Amino acid sequence: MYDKVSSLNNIFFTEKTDFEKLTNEMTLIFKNDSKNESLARVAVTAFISQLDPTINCINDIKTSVSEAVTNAIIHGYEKDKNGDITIYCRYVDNKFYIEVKDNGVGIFDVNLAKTPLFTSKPEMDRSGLGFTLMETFMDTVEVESVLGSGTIVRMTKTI
Amino acid sequence: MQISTTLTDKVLIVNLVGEIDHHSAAKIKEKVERDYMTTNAKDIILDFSSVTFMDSSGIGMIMGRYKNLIPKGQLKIFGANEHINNIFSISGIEKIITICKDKDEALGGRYVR
Repeated sequence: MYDKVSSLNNIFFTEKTDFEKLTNEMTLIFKNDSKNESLARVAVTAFISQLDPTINCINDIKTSVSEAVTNAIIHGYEKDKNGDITIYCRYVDNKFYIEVKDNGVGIFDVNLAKTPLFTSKPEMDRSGLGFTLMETFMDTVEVESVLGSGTIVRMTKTI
Repeated sequence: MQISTTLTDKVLIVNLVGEIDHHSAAKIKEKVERDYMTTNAKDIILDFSSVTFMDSSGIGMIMGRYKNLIPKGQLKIFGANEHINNIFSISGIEKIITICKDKDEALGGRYVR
């Protein structure tokens, strides 16, 4: 009995020291329905709230998440209604990292897609500013895309 | 997103409440186009004072309405918060669309209250 209690104390102590470094991870998988754009924003906002971000910082991250998820829905999956979008986020202390991944058609020319005001869907009232806003509001934005298998947008920001 | 419109002297005032993203922008487009046609309005004013969030889909939606409106009428916006105004300036939309502080400025002193 004494041994059990002592080992429990040890576990508790180990966990406590691990948590001295402020760190957390979240993975969220949802369907490519435009209703889920707000779900993604709310979930990521809740995730970073632990770090006491400023209102401006929350808005920057919310907008960037919204842009990446919208791109996945309207460009990645186009007419396919059954695709999954995966958001993975992590922070270590005040360094925030987020990945938005789809298994869609991929981007033909990433540099062209990132060009301000370029859009492949002008008939849908698209502004062509998605990547421009992500690059404005986040510290780094990287895009990895393979035609026919999907796109990952990786972004970081110090909070 | 809640969207309601009122017509005053051929100006369609669109009151928007909530967040503007790709999902809600489609609804705004539908409602504004329909009400603009049925009320025979000339100008459109978008009331942003209760819009809490907007991404680039909002810019696309505004540009789309602007293209359908000119040269018949004018499009003005008022009441946007700091974050949304920042997105307006990054997009350069303020060069072609009048961004106003408040409703009075948007109405251009046309009405005596």
